[in-house]
Amino acid sequence: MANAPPTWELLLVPEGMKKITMEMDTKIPNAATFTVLKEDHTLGNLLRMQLLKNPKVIFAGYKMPHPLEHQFVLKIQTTPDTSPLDVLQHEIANLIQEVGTIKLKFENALTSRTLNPGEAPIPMHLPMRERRDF
Amino acid sequence: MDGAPARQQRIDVTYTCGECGADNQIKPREPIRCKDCGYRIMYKKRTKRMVQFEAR
Amino acid sequence: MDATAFAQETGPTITLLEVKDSPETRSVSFILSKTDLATANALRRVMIAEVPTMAIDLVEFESNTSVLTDEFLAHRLGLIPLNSEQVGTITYTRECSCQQYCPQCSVELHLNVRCTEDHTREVTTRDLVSSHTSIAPVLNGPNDRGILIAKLRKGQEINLRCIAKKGTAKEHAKWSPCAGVAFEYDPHNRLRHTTYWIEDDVKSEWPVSANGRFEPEVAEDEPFDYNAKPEAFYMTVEGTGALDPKEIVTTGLRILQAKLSLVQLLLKEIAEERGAVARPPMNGFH
Repeated sequence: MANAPPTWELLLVPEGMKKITMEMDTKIPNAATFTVLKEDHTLGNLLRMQLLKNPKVIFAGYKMPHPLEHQFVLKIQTTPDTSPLDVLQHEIANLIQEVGTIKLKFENALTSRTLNPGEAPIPMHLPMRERRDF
Repeated sequence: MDGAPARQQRIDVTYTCGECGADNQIKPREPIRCKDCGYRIMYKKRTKRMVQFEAR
Repeated sequence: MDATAFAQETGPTITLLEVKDSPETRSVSFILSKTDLATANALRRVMIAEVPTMAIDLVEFESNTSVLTDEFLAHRLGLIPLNSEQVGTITYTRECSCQQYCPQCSVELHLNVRCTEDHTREVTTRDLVSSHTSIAPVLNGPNDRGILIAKLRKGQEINLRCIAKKGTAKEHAKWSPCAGVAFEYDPHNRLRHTTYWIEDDVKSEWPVSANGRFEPEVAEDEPFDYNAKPEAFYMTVEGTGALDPKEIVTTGLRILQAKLSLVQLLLKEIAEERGAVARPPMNGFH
């Protein structure tokens, strides 16, 4: 265990380093690379998936350059009418709203459950003929 | 770790006999032998210093 | 029409399936739908690795004459689930203003057992004495004997002092509040995300999972829908007892939101920096 790095290195951004840095791409127009420190696939995949839904995004991809370094790199290219930073900010706002909605729905489901105990939920997303007898 | 070898000659260490479990004061360069049963294998006692471990 | 909240709204939905609250199992099962795979997986990852709990992190030995070595005992003590309902009131030791550790960022537990009888004395988590009213080893009711830590013979004793600290499973797995998180989607393999290993026939060799009842079965002649995406995720969160599973889910969602908000804030700073550089000065003509 002598060579193991200190465990808090997974979590804390060291002094003088920034958590997120952006580098505009010199050769490709409307493209930027974001380096996010001390984060992993939890954020990386989430941001990437959300960006790909945006029609103004031409390219979006992320990778972890090395498993021993706890950071990921997110590359975004957009159409000329917007910028990678704008589109990323827009999508993060959407994500925050989505996660907030899930949280709200979960809490509502919990409170409505305690009001009607013993009620098994019927799958609502199936058409009438598919719902089994619960 | 301590860096004080000059003390070694004066401190008496108690060892535990391997057979009867009695405590024996053995001085440096004294032949190793239990005072009660004559057994020649001694065990050192656990350190009085507090040891700390990470629970990982 | 249904009075329940999840009937009509657009956007992600939660369908609660089951909440088990018995001493043997603590779990909550739900269906997360109308969201995508990355969100559901992010939630799963956060619940396992980033929800903070309390766990023993330092053990000081006064005496140990048991058959287990010091580090062995310390390792076992670290894995004991501690009731972490009040972990929100504890600060991380690395963020605390104290020098080493203090009651604000840690909880002290003592274990002092000596075997005086002729039969084997079992040392369990019931013997751990905590300095905090609630942050103590999890026990399932008065009949629970506690998790076995060590066994002592006549004359053997264990005397130690533990310091429990707040942490997340990212640092060490002992801090994970989850015993297991079940995660499934597309039980009928409509998306062809998996291929079944078979000898003769898929239907007879691979039983359909319990979540198959929520989705219509695939007809024989049904063409493959290449535009379909995973939409409904069947999750079950089982806790170790440290936190209530409902609490694990809500805290997980809150932490995910906080992560995204932090990124949002930092991006705004970057945008402002860029804006200050790129924008020409407001006064004068150009």
